[in-house]
Amino acid sequence: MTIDIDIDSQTFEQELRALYATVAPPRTRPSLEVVDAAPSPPPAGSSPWLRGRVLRRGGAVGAIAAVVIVGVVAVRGRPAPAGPPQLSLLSVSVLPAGGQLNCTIAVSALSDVHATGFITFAQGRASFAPVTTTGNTYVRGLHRWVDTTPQMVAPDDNSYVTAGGDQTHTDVQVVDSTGRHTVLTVNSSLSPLGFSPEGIVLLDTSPSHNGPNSTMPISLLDPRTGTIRAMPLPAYPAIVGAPGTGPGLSYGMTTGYQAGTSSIWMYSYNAASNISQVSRYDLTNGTTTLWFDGRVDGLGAAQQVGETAAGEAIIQVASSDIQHVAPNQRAGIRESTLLMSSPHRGTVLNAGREGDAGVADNLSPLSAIDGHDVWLAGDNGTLWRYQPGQGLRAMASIRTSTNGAPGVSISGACV
Amino acid sequence: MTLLPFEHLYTSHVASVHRFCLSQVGDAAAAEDITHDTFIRAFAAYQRVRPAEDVARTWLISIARNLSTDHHRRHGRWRRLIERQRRVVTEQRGVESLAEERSQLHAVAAAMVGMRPRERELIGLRVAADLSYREVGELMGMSEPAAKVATHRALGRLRERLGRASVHDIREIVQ
Repeated sequence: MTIDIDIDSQTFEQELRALYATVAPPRTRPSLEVVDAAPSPPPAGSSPWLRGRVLRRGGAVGAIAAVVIVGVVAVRGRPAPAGPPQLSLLSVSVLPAGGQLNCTIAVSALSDVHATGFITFAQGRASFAPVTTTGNTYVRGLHRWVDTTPQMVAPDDNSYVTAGGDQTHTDVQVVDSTGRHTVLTVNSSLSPLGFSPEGIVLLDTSPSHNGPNSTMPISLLDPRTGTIRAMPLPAYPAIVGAPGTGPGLSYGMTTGYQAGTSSIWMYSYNAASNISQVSRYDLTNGTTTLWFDGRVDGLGAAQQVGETAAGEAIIQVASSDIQHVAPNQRAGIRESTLLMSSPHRGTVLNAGREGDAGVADNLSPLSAIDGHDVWLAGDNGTLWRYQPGQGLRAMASIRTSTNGAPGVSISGACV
Repeated sequence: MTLLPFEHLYTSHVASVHRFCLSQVGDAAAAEDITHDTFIRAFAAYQRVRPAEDVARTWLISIARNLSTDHHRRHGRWRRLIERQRRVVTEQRGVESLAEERSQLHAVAAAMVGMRPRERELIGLRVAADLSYREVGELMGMSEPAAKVATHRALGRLRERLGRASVHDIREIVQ
């Protein structure tokens, strides 16, 4: 099947328009059912427009829990793949600081090439061995790639979690090293966010917990018994300042579980005020601590991208809304990578302007703890390693054969 | 100024907003989500913004555009991961009745994925949302003639991509 494009430009435009005109509008959702006549907006949170399946709506303030999307969408309702994708290649250049590496790291390149496999460092060189898989997270204890996110892998690396279900329930499926699948059925409003030492983290995303100043309750699911323990409510960071409207003026909240820790990190950002807040929720005791407050710690778009074994946070602060700028258009935006030893106390690990040599590009929160070190990957395909005493250093640069630098997801440390 | 009932806004423009979202993200579920989010945001701001009827559509499209950009860039790495996984789901679902899963729209969506965001937006605004060049220019921050030229260039690029990549992309998606 090919499309007939042997037509002039105007006809092409008209045909495209006609093609899109055949698209039926989406069905009205329960949360978008029209009620009676002219609505005058009721208090946010009680609006009938906000009812229904609001997992990805942060409510009227647009508080979109993006990592929650990953935690939920990525593991929900995924059937077995139809067939293996084609192998794709990555080229890896060892950077000076990586010259002494002698280890292997599992990576999945999140670009159109879909390359997945292992990068092995030895004697100052690196080689990439692609694998045929539809998985994108490598579970070292199981010796296989699985369709889930790194946060869903158990701390002991011997099991992982996926989720399915429908509007009536959520099936949390635990797959262990023997291949046994244990299905734990929970309320449909509960979605797994991560697999922590304390248990499987469940987030209650029901509509009543959306909207301004709302908070999504957290509970812990025991993977062995299936019992659920409700945790104290987290104190979500605030959207500071009045949200602006119009293109480029985003605001929202993100919630994510930091793999291998007992931490849930939550951050808010309002592009209109250029103020971020970053908070940590401790799964061991249910307390929330504000670690970064743009009003006192500096303006910019902040996000937590890593955590050390000692509980220090690695936070990146961009001078402006970097998340709304395409990677190839970010040059000039100032980016600081901070090591926060405690709330509001940080030292600069790396800083400079995007695009300049040696400046850490936007780093992924899918980082991995490796003893005292932390491995991180940037949007520009650079692998970074934080080491106490050595700081944050670029280890390698990854390129695809066709698309340049891919975003990279790492599955664990380089071992 | 009398403000029209919000449901009037919804019923009048949901199709246009949805088509635009689909043109930007090329994924049925994501387009529906963004459409949904667009109207939730619009609802929250409706009384405050009080858009006139003749600009309501561009106001909604501007929100949708913001959210579509959000979808693409705010968590680009997450998006790529999610969409990669969604693609697996799409392969399983095969040829369903959803409009965008028809092969032609598939081909267009696949071709647009690799285009520059600005080009994708121009095409989406002009073709999918069916805006005038004046409206496209307003949203993109350029003059009407400049919007026209830029849109034609973007359409030309899309034509090239369809001619060059259609077989590969279609195979990848509907296989």
